[in-house]
Amino acid sequence: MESLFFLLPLAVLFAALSVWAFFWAVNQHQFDDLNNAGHSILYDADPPVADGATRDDDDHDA
Amino acid sequence: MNTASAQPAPTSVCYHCGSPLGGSTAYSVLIDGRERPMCCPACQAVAATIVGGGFDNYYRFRDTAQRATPSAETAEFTAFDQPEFEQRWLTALPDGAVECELLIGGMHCAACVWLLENYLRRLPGVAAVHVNLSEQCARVRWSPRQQRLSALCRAIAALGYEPQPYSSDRLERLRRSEQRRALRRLGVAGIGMMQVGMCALGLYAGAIDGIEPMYRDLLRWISLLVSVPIVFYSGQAFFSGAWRGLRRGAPGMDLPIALAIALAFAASVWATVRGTGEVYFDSVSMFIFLLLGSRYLEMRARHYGGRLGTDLLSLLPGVATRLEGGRPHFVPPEQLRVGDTVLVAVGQTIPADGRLLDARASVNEAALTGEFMPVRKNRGDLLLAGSVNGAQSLTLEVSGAGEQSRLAAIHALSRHALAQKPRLAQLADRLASRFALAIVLLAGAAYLGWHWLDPQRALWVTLSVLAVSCPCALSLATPAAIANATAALRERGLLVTRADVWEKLPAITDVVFDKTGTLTEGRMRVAAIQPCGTRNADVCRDIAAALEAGSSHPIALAFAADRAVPAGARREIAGRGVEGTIAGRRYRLGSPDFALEWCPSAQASAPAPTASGQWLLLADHTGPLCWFRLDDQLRDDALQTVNALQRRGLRLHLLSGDRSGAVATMAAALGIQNVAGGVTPERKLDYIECLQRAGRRVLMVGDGINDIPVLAAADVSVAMNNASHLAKTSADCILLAGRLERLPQLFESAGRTLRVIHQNLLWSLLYNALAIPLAAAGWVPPWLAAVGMSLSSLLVVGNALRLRRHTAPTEM
Repeated sequence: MESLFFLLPLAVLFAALSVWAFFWAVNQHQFDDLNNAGHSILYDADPPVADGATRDDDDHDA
Repeated sequence: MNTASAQPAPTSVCYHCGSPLGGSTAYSVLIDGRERPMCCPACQAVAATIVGGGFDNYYRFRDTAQRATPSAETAEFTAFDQPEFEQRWLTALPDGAVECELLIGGMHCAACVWLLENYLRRLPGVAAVHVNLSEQCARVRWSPRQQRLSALCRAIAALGYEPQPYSSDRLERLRRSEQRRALRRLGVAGIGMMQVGMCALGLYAGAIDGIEPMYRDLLRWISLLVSVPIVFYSGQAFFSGAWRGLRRGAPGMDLPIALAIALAFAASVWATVRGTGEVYFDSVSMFIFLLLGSRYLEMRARHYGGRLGTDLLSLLPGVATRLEGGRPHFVPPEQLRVGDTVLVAVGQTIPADGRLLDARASVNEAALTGEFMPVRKNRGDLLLAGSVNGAQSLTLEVSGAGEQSRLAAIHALSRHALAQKPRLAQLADRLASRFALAIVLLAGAAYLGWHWLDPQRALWVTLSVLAVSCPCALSLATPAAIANATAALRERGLLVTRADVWEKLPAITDVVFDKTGTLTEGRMRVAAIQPCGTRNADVCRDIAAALEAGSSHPIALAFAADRAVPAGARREIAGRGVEGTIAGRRYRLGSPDFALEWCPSAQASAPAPTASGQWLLLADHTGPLCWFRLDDQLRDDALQTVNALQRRGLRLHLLSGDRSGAVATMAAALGIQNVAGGVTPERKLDYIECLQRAGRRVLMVGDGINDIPVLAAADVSVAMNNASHLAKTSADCILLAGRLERLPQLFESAGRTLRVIHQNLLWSLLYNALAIPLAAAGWVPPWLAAVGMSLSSLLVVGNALRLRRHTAPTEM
């Protein structure tokens, strides 16, 4: 049971990390719109790049 | 109008915006391998942009067709690059990037969010894009070396939305930071509570099975460590609230809560240090978390209702054009001074109050009055900030800018109205105050009593009394129910802005409707075409459409058609009609005497049709060609709403300022017996007060500034979504989507809400009546008190959640 002396403070550290991550998310405005955030998972994250949109020029110019 | 869905759109509407095509196939865009028809160059351009960026999926994801694409004022975007604009709107960040907040008009579903975020993210230099659909705004961060605000606005406009850079006012910023602070506190309490709960489980197991003192103390110290931020950071809200209440002499529910937390924490610390007694860190943490959670939810509900109509800046244009020495300069509207000369182009919003310098102008004051017909102004007349310029560009001399404008005065009024606390909340506050005092006294008495009887138990008994009294149920009973009911209705397009509504609705006996814009759409439509003699109706209609093309007058919009080829040499004579040349012939469309001016002899031979309504005549030099009847279309759900309300036993009235026979016709069609047409605003007010004096309670549904005193006098007022700004902010409810069928649902919801509130209050009364004496008698250990309190609050909140359940729409 001596491991408790190590594990419990470790758990507190993790809790502190979670709080920090939560604060970061709140400050990033991620929680501002709770009604519509759920829809974003339904859509593809990266739409296909269409011709000529933002692709870099290939190097084979004549 | 058809709502676009996964099915292929019928070929008779524009694939992008859903407007009818009427046979024109001039515009189309290749989307997903199929040619899709478009109604106009604007829709075609937007659709091409979307497809060109690789975002075809937008058309698969969206819920409904976008409304008709607004025309983008790209010229004014270049003004945004000027230093005075950049200074106003852009926030410089430490790493060299800049951030800007923009209002985005025209967003209506999550697919729009997806489209905007992904499209903007791919532009060079853009670091982050975050779109908030509920608040209709976007926040963009970019590197100023690679990107400019004007280019971003142009990109947004190319997608068919209306961007407007925005700097939130003080109240808005305060509200947002308050919300984020509350959320942070809640997060600390939640995460901490779980950690403390983990340790508490160990302690409970140890209490049952035995535990070595060393480990018990370890668990206790860890609990203490984690509880410190919970009590002092998250719990701070209660301590400062209690202190404020004490200073004011009116202690609220924060007082017993703060006392309970402080006592429990102090006693637990003492027990940890001394190694004796019990610790209650888990109860304290859970207590704080639950209370903060419910307050946060209630705050969000309250803030959402308050947001609508408090944004003065969103009504003004982003840019004003000031003429200095005859040359135009772009400036922010707040920098205008009295005496400045301002140029306002067609379709632009007037940035400040001022006197018209030109001979004539036509402006649309819908944002202020709700009246959708334009108003004619002559030289020297006052033009109001927020109104939209109609026929031709105008110049004005500023008389009131920024805070001095009429719009700002209306805005201040609305803010004041919204800040007032509803009567129910005030009542609850007073009750809570008395209850809090009673609890504290009782706890004090318990302490004294036990101190005399058995000093060792005194503290714990007092703690139990304070904890078990469950301020939660009382303070949560009403707000929880109201928050849930409000949210449920809001999701269906009815926004309740005052909590009084829930209390007053069940007592309503009469409903008064306005006509134009309330029962009707507020848009003109061609209802009948009567050609004279053997003329072809379609040909006449096309001629009329060609004459009216290009104008944004409501009458012109009624004729708006597919073929947008305007007539040549077009001339609009205000109030009478329009004249133009088509294929070499001159035509006139307007009031009969105007149209027949060229051949007065024909007037006798072509009598006006006898049916009542607004008739326009199309004529040329040979005589009359065709009669058109215009009317304002009845909303499609008006009849079923009227029936549903009558079934509830409500008496209905129709009051309108319209003098024509259309009022009586409409009332007959709907089955409303109490009708009055040609009613002035004063008479409307009298009518309502008369009803009220007879003991009846009135709900008024309206939309214009003429209705403001009436809306205020009614017991409950409902504004339509197309109502003026002032009407919306002084009304108790707003029909966001303009669906009248929400009205019967409002009544039903109010009945259920009141029932739930009463149930909650009854429960908390019973619970307290039972638990407090038990606790004072020493039969309730603190842990049981905490459990009882938590369960009690959960019950109240759970009961309130039942209000979120959507009932089926009232059967028609």
